Amino acid sequence: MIKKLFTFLLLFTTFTSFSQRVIWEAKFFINSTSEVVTEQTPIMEGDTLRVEFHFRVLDAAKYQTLDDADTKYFFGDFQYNNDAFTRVDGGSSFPGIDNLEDGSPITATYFYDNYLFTSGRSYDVLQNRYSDWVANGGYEVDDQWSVVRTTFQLSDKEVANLIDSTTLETSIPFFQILFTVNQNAHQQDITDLKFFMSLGTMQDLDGTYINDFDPGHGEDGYVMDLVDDAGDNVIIKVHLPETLDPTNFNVYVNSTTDDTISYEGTLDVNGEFTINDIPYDGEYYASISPIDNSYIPDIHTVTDAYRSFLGVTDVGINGTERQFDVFETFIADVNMDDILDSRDVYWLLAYVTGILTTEESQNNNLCLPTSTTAEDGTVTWSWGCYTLVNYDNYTEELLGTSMDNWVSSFSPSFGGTNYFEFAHWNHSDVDFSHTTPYPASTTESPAREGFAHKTPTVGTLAHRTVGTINIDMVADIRDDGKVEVTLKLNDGDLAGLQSRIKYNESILYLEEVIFDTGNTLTNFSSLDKNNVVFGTISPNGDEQVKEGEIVKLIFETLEQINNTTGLFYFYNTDAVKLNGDKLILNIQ
Amino acid sequence: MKKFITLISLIMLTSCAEDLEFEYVSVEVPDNLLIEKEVGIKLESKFIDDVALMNVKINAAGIFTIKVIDIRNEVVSKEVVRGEVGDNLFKVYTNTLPISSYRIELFCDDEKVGAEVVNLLQ
Repeated sequence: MIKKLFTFLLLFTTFTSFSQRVIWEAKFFINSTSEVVTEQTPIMEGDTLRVEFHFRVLDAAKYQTLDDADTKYFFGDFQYNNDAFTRVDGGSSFPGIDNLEDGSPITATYFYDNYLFTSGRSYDVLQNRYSDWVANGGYEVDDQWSVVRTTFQLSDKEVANLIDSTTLETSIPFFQILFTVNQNAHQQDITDLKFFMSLGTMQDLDGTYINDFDPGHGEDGYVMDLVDDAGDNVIIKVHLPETLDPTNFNVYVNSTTDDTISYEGTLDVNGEFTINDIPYDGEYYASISPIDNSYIPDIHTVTDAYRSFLGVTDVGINGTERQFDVFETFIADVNMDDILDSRDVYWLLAYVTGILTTEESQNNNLCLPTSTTAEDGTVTWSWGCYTLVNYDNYTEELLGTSMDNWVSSFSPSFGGTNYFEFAHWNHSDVDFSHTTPYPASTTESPAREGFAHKTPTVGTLAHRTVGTINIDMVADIRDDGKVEVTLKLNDGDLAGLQSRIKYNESILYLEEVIFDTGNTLTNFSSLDKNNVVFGTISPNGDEQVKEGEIVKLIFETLEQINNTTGLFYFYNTDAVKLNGDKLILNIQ
Repeated sequence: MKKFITLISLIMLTSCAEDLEFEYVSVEVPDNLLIEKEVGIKLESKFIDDVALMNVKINAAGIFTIKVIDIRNEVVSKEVVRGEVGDNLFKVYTNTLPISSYRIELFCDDEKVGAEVVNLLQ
C-alpha cells in the first residue's frame, strides 16, 4: 500500500510539474524508398538519409495548454556525427511551416561544422539547456560533431496549429533535412552513429517559454541502424588545419596516364571526397583549390614575419642552434632559391606590412600572394604557392631530403575502401596557420648552413603550442560624433600583433588609424573595401609592443547614430611573442 | 498601443555609473520592446535582415557594454554605451556580421545583466 501510494505521488508530482510537456523528436527514413530506418530496414552507406523533425504532446490536456500558450517561436539545435553523415547541400526545408498557410512565417537554418555542445548537457529539459547556453555559451570545437540550428516564427498561426489535435503530433514534419551516409560510417563506434538534440526553446512573442520542452530519445539520441556498403571505393582525405573550412575546397583527381579520366567535387566537413567508380588499374594525383579565397590575406601575418626573422638570426653563438628544421627552412624560403637569408625575411615582412609591390614580388619570383584593387576598393587576391602532398611523406625527413617526396599521387587497389591521405601546404606560412599541422621530427642532427633540402635538424617553432592572450577592442561614439575603436593591450612580451575589422561602410567611413605601439615598431594598416587590416611588429625583436591603448581607428559617421552594435565585425587576430610563440587574441 | 513612460532619476551614481546627475528622461517604448524586469535587453524581433530596434533597460545611469558573441563564444563586436535610468532605445545593425545567430549580451561593469539571441536572415 505504501509502495502504491509512493508510486502515485511520484507520478502525480511528475505529471503536474510537466503541464506543458512538448516533445521534439526526429524520424529517420531511407530517402529513396521512404522506408523507416530500423534494424530490419537499415540504411546503407552511400544512401541518402532523410531526417524529419516533429512535435508531439502527451495528451489532449497538454495540447490544450500548448494551444492556450500561443507559442509562435521555435529555436533548436541538433547534432550529428559528421564522420558518419554528410549534410546534403540545399537538402533542408520546412514542409510543415509551408503547409500551415501562416501569414508571414520566418524560417532560418544555420550550420556549424565541428562543434559539440558540452557544458549544458546535464539538463534533461531543452529549455534549461537553452537558458544555460544563453547565459554561458557551451559549444566547443570537436571534429566529430556538427550542429544544425533551425528556427522559425509564426505570425497569425501558432505551434499548436502544426500539431494534429487528434493524433497529438505533427503529421507533416515542421523541418526536414537530408544526409548522405559516409562510406566509412561503419568504422564509427556504434554508439556514435547518432543524432541528438542539444538545446531548444519554444516561446510566445513576449518571450514567455514552455518549461517542459524535451528532446526525443533524451541524452542518448537516435542511433542509426547501418549496413556496410562493402563496395569498392576511394576516399581522398585532406588534413586541413582548423583555420580552413574543408567545404570551401574543390578537389580534383586526375589520371596520370589518361587525360579522359578525371573526378571533381567538394571536400566534405571532414576534408574527405569519395569516388565510387574509379578504375583500379591506374595511378592518379589529387589537388585542391579554394572556392572562396578571401582567407588568403590571413595566411601570412606578423607571426610568420617574426618567426622568419628568428629562423635566420636566432642561431646561437656558433650558428648551429637553429630555430627551424629543414622543412621550416624550406617553407620560409620565400623565393625558393634553396637559401634562407635576410632577403627572405625582408620580403615576408614587407608583404605583411603592405609595402611589397606586385612588381617587386614578380621580379624576385616570390612565393607570396599578390592582389589587385578595383575602383570600388575591392581587393582580389591571387595565390598559387600551395599544394597537396601524400600525408605519409609529410615529415621533416622525407620533405626535407628530396623533392621526389613531394608527390600527391596514389594507386588504388581492388577490394573495399581505399583511403588516401594528404597534407596541405601553403608556402611562406611559417607558423603553419593555414597548413596541415606538422608532425614532430624524429631525427636529431645539426643543420647544414644554407640549403633547405639537405640535413634534418630539430625545429622548435613549428611544434610550439598556440596560446591565447586577452585584449580589449571596443567601439565608442565620441563627443564630436565620430566613432572610435580602441585596441587595448594588457600584456607585454609581444613582438607583434595584427587584427582585421569589417565595418558597415554605408554608415561609417574610416578616417584614420592612430598607433601608439612603441618607438621602433613598424605599424601598418590597409583597406580592402570595408575590411581594415592593422597591426604592428618589432622586425628585430628589440622592443616589445607597449601595453595600454595601442591602436585607435577613427570613423566618420555618414548618418546619425546613437550606438554601434553590429556595425563592426572583429575577426582574425593573432600575435607573436618575442620568443616566437604564436598567440590568438581573445577579445574580452 | 504604445506606452509612454516617464522616468525620473536623481540618483548619484554608483555601479556602472559616471559621476553625473540625471534629470527627467522620457522614452517612448513600443509594446514589443517593453521589459518587465528592472534590468534587461530586448530586441524588437528575433530575426533581423538589416537593422532592428533594441531596448536596454537599466537601473543606474552610466556606461554599459554590449557584446555580440558567436557560436565559438567569441566576442565579434563590442561597444560601450551611455545609458540613462530606465529604457534606452538603440539599434542593432547586422549586415556586417556573417549570416548566423548570435547572443547579444549587456554588461554592467563585468557583470552580465541581460542577454538576447538574434537570428540573422539572408
